[in-house]
Amino acid sequence: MRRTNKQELAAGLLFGAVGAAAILLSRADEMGSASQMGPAYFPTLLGAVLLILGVLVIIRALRSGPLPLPSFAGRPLLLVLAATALFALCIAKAGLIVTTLAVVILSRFARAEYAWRETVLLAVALAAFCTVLFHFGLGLQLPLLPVLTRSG
Amino acid sequence: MDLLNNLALGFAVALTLDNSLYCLLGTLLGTLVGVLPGLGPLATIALLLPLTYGLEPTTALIMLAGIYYGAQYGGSTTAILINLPGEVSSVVTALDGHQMARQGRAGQALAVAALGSFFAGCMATLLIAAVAPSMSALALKFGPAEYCSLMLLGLVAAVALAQGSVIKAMAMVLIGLLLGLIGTDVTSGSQRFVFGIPELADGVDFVAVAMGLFGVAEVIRNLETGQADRQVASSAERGLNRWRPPREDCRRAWRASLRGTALGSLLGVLPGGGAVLASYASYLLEKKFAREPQRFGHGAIEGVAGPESANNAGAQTAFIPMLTLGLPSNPVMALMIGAMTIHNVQPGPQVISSNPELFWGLVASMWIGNALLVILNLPLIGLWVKLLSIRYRLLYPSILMLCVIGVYSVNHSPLLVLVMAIFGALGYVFSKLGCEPAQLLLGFVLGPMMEENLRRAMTISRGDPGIFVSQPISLTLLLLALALLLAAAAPAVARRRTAAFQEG
Repeated sequence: MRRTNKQELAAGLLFGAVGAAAILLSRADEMGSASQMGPAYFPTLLGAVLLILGVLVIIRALRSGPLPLPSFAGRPLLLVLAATALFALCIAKAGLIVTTLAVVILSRFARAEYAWRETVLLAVALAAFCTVLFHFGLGLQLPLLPVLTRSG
Repeated sequence: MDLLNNLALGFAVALTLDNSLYCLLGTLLGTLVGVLPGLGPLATIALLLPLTYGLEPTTALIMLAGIYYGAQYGGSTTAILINLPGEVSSVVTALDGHQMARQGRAGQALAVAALGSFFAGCMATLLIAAVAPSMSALALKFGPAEYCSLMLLGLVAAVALAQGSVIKAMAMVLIGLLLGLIGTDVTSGSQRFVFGIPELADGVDFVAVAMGLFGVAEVIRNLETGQADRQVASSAERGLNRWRPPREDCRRAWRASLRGTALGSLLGVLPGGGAVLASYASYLLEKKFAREPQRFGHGAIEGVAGPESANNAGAQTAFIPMLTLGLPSNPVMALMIGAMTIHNVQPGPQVISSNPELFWGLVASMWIGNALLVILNLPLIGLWVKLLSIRYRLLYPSILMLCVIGVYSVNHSPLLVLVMAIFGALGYVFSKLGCEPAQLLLGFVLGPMMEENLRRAMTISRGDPGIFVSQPISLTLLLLALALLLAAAAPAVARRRTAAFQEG
């Protein structure tokens, strides 16, 4: 293990796993024959080649190190994903304006220095910009403020 | 003359008020976003794609093409001014271009880059107009076996050009092909890799994949590296107001630009080629041709003129296989094909005959777009420089909003936004593991096409794979692919390739 390139090893494991998953998931479908390929034929073929490539990468990784796993930046990763998910959950119910404010304010936590005033200003500016550009300018059917329209 | 008639039709389409306005808007927006740190042409097109949803297909494509050259030009601008190439193909421009800027010749470097690109763009546009009809006539003779081999050649070329490990690049292509198969199988109607999610029955939307891999993942990466908010030297210091190079330099730049154009046009047509290969090859060529090669790396004007012309010529001629064969030769063209499909235009040899306005309008708009770049960008350089100093903490929430709204507006599906988030995370993980998501995107677009053609070919041959080697065109394509793969895998070449990239 002393000469293991952990970055390569992880890549190889990932490839192998995807290849294996493709083969296994395709087993539910019909394989067919070379002249009449069923839905499982091509994915199984691709999965098999991917699995072989994965194994090759793993074998090479065992001798090409040592290299540690790269470090992952948890904070930006989680917050950017959370902000994206927040948009997906809110847009239909809360509308474009509220959602934009929320997404911008949440996403700004991805970076260490937080300036409230600047962030709120940015959020308001972007909400206005997106409303004008996408709703009025491009005519995309995005709900603006569904709460208002429903009650009034 | 057919060529003139066709071009006349094209200009008639491209010069309508709407189309020329959107062409202008596209080049402007493309440059604007392309100049922003960390956004290459792929990310720029992906981000701006939603702006074209509501347009006519021809107008939409004209605007997208404009965005593409704009973004590329924006990348060169940042490469010259702050040594920050926005994309791989302008890495070589940074070598000598930034040195020129440090010597107070930034204005000259930018002018040469713009004029060289314009010249190359004109030539490449003519070439497309001249070659495309006969190419698509040839393409109509292609059977499924030929298509399959051609796609394989394209994928192999993309693998050969990847930075780093060939095996990993191959694996990325395969993952892309597999992801492309998600959804309902057209032939049998059975659903593959759908996991009971009804939204996945039509396949994973390509906009979500592209924006996840190139928009969201890029934001995460930039946040991690802490994208330094950089100080840009004042424009006077860099000599931005002096555009005209001395006569000796003009002569050198002119010749380099000619050579770059020829080389770039040729390499752009090759599958997997395009702008990146063209600019590297041109730089190496200029260095070889030069009487004093030691000037390179210290602000040689040929080092800007050659690669910039080559990369623009290559970017344009890459449209030839895309428009005539329906095959993307690089990830940017994969995006363009995706965009065409959104507008219900099926790229392929039939486009010229069934949609002549679209085809020739697009070709003519390329020329107009290039002219606009020169006219607009030189005076606007000061503005682009100011953009460079925008703080990333203000920029990234805006990029993120563009991504989510763009994906959501494809068909108002919150699930698609989540899919984009997943691809964002995947893209980040891939880059951490030293894998390039660009290859994945190419595979993703080609996956279903390749399966269909493989199936048809094998049905025609009654299950005999010999069909791929018994047809002369198919055999030639496969041999080319094999040669490329061997060349890329051979250790000596691999080492030289790394060296060429490290130089940049």
